[in-house]
Amino acid sequence: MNPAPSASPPPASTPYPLVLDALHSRAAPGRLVASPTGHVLASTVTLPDAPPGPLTRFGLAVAEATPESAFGEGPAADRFAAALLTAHRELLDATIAHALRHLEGRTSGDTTLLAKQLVAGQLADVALRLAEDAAVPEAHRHADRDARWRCHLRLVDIGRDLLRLLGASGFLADGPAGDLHLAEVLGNVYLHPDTEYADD
Amino acid sequence: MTELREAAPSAGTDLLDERTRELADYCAAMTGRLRVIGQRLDRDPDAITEFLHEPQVRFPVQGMLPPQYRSAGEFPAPLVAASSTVLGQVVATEQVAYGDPNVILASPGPSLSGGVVQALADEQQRQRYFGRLAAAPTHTFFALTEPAKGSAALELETTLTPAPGGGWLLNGAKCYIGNGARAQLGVVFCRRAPGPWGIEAVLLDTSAPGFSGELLPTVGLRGARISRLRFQDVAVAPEDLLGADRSPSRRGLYGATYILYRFRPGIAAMALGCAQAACDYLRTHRATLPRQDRHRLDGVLDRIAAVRHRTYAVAAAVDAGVVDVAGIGAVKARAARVAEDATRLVAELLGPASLIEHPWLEKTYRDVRAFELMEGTTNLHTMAAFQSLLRSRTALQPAAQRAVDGAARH
Repeated sequence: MNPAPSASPPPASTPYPLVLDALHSRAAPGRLVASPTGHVLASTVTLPDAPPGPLTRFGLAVAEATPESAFGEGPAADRFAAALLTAHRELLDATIAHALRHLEGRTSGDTTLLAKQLVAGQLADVALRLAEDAAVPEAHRHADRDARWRCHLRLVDIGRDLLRLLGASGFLADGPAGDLHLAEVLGNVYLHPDTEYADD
Repeated sequence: MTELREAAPSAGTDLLDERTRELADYCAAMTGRLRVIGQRLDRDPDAITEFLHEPQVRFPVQGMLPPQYRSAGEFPAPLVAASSTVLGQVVATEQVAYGDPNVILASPGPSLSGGVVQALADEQQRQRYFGRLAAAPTHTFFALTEPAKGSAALELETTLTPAPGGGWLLNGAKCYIGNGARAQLGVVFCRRAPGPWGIEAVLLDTSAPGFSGELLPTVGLRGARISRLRFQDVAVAPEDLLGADRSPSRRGLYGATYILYRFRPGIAAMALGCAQAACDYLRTHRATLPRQDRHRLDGVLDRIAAVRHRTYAVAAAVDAGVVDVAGIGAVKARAARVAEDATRLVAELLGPASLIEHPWLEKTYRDVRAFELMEGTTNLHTMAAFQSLLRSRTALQPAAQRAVDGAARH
């Protein structure tokens, strides 16, 4: 494992794996936070020795937790879970800005896609749902793991609707779709409320 | 490989005859091997070349070839013939995608461009195109979508202009083209003159000077090798213009729409195959579900069954000469959505870290998102469904009421 990066917030355009590294650093300085299932997800820069997998090309490494990891329940895990949701929300904010630019640059007939009522309404709906999610009181949002999972699912719904508005560019790994996929995977690993495993 | 499957492949389908059910079962037996190959393609999409000798890879493209270019004696002829109809393609494609959708998309073969050639080309052009495919593994592409205009065929900006010494020059760019950057041959839609009948389809050899292609990094369905293409003064000979002996209204744009309507149900079938596979994967790995979770899964399975039924119906209608444009778009859009919902639900119900501990699921979770954007987004098809709704409402109104409504609009 490489030394943890500085704990200062990364700039808005930072790739998600590096954002993730910063979240680890802020939640548990000098350590990486393990999921309840015993996985550690961080950038391939922070975990260069992790085995290659399908997420490697997105810049994300998956490793088993070690005795040095920050484990399970507790303040570090809580801080990390809360920060994951905040990062997901910031990613969606940035994607809305991206969608506005993208749809303004695409034309259909003699008008931009952004000027189409159907598209404008869908984009506004996405923005409203994101604002609504941000307005959920902290006590509700972080009441327990179920509450965080509900928040995660809301954010995934918003992200999927947003990416559909981007058409085929919403499927490119080097655009918002790649980072949003990682945010979904992170939620699946760190925020899922169950403790049960599948049969095998 | 029946161990992958919970339900018989043709379960819940009352629109298939005995031969088409046999085709479904034949393709269902391939799914285990296709799944292995598909996972390899997710790591290395060009690894398809290692599997070209395998029947599971070779069979699915057979029905897309004219009879004289099919592999003689390699596969049961009645099943190959059954897979050449739109309904047959849908049934076979669903089963193949149940194994893995990447394999058929990564395979050399005619793609949609072969359909355009069959629909528009003269005999010499057909011989040139299909003869080349028969002689050696050849990737092909169908280039309609453009960077600024999407798949709006009427608005395309790639131009075909007269060349000084005769023939034509092709200039422009295409985007999100499957297999574009690795193809040897393809069909490009371009504008020769203003208006809908000014659109042409040309056959292009990618070794032509001025052609370039680059791969685009996609979240999933990597076997499709989605690409961006550029054409800079690419020479197009008169014999490369498809359907030159036809009237302008029966070539170019006609060829594009003719093929899209026939292949679009196949995209729905791919999405349904993946959705069903995800649900069956859950039932294999989590045999007992709490009642509430079982109801959620059953809700998705109900939707899959419904969209499958409608997909078979629109495909059979095309075979019967009836093209229900809105219905075809609707099944594609609904199948894409149910595939996303199925993979999300399965990831949730398999428990924490399922997207790490089940690599096949993580791959499928990424792959199925491609179906939303392939052959028109949901918004596009939703608008077509709305227009259809308007037309049906008008048709149901008494004549006197239609006259009143019509007057009010003026």
